[in-house]
Amino acid sequence: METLEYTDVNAHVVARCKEGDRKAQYELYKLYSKSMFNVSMRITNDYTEAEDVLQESFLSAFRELHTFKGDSTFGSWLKRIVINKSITKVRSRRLQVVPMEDHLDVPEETPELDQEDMEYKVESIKKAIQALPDGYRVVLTLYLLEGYDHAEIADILSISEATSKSQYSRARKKLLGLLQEQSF
Amino acid sequence: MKDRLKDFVQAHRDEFDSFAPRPDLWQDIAAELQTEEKNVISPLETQKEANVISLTWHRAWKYAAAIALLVMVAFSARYYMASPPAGTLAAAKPVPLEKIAPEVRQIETRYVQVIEQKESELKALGAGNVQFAELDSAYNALKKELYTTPNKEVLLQAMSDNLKMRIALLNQQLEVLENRSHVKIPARHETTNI
Repeated sequence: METLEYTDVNAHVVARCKEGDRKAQYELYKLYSKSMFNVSMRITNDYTEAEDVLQESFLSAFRELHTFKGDSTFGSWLKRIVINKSITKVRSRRLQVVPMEDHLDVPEETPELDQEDMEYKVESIKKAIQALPDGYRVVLTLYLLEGYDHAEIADILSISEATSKSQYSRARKKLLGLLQEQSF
Repeated sequence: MKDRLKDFVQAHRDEFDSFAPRPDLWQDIAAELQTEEKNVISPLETQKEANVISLTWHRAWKYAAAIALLVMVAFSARYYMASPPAGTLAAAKPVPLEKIAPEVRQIETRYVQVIEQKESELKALGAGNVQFAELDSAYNALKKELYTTPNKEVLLQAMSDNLKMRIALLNQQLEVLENRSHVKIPARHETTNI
C-alpha cells in the first residue's frame, strides 16, 4: 500500500545526493519533509521534538546515503530512520513508554461501543490519537497510518508480533472510547 | 475481523498529514551539511582516496610520456650515429645509401673526381683550400632526405646540380688564377726581359 506510493522515481536524485549535490538534497527534502514530519509528530506527539527528529533524520540520511542500497525505496528507507529517531525521543522522555505488557487496561467502559454505527471524522480521530498514551499511540499509528504490519512493527519496536497485535487492539479500543467521549 | 477504523484511515490517509515543519528548517539542515562537509573526516578521506587514484593516473600518463620520449630520443640518436658525420664532401662520400640510391655513388664518383682534380690544380696555382660550407650542408641535407623521400629523382638531380655548381665555381676560380698567372708571367718575362 504505502510502498506503492513510493515508486522509485527518485533514483537519479538519490544518486546526485550521494555525490553531495545540495540541490538534489533539497529536492528530496521538499518531497519528503512534510510526510516525515507528520510521521514523527504522531509518534512523538510534540512539535519541537518532531522538528528535531526531522532535522536529524535528513542529516543522517544524507550522511549514511552510501549505505542505502536501493532494495527499498528512498522514502521507506527514510521513514524507518524517522520512526527510529522518533521512538528514541519518546523513550528518552522516560515517560512510561507503555509498559507494553501490563499497561493499565483500558477501562472496559463503553465496550463494543457499536463501532459499526460510529461516524468517523478525520479531525476527531487525530485528536483522539494525540490523546493516547505514548505506547498505544506508537503502535496504533504505525499500523493504521504508516502501513506496517505487525511483524514489521514488532521488528521496529523490538517486541513480539503477538504483543504488537494485542497492543494495537487495546489502543484501538482506547481510541474508539476517546472518540465516543468526544462525540458526547 | 473487518477493521472499519483502518479502512477509514486508509481512505483519508492524506488528510492525516496536516502538520508542517517551520519553513526555514531546511536552512538549518543545509548549514549543518555545509559544516559537516568541511570538517567531517570520512568524506575528506574518500576525497583523498579519489585524489590518489586520479594522481596515479596522471603520473602514469607522465611516465608513459617520458618513456615514449626516451625511446624516441634513443632511436634518433642511433639514427644520427649511424649516418656519417656531416663534414666535407669527401667524408660524405662513403655512404650506406647505396641500397636506397645506388645512383648517388655514380654521381659522386663522377663529379668528385673532377672536383678533387680541380682543387689540386688550384692548390698547384697557390690557392688555399676551397671551402664549400653552404653547398656542403645543402648536399648533406639532400642526402639525408634520400632516406625518406618518395621522389628520389628530384633529390638526385639537386645533388648533382650541387656538385656541378662546385665544379663551376672551381672552374671560375681556376680561370681567375690562370688569367692572373698569364698576366703575371708575361709581366715577369717583361721584367726579366728588361
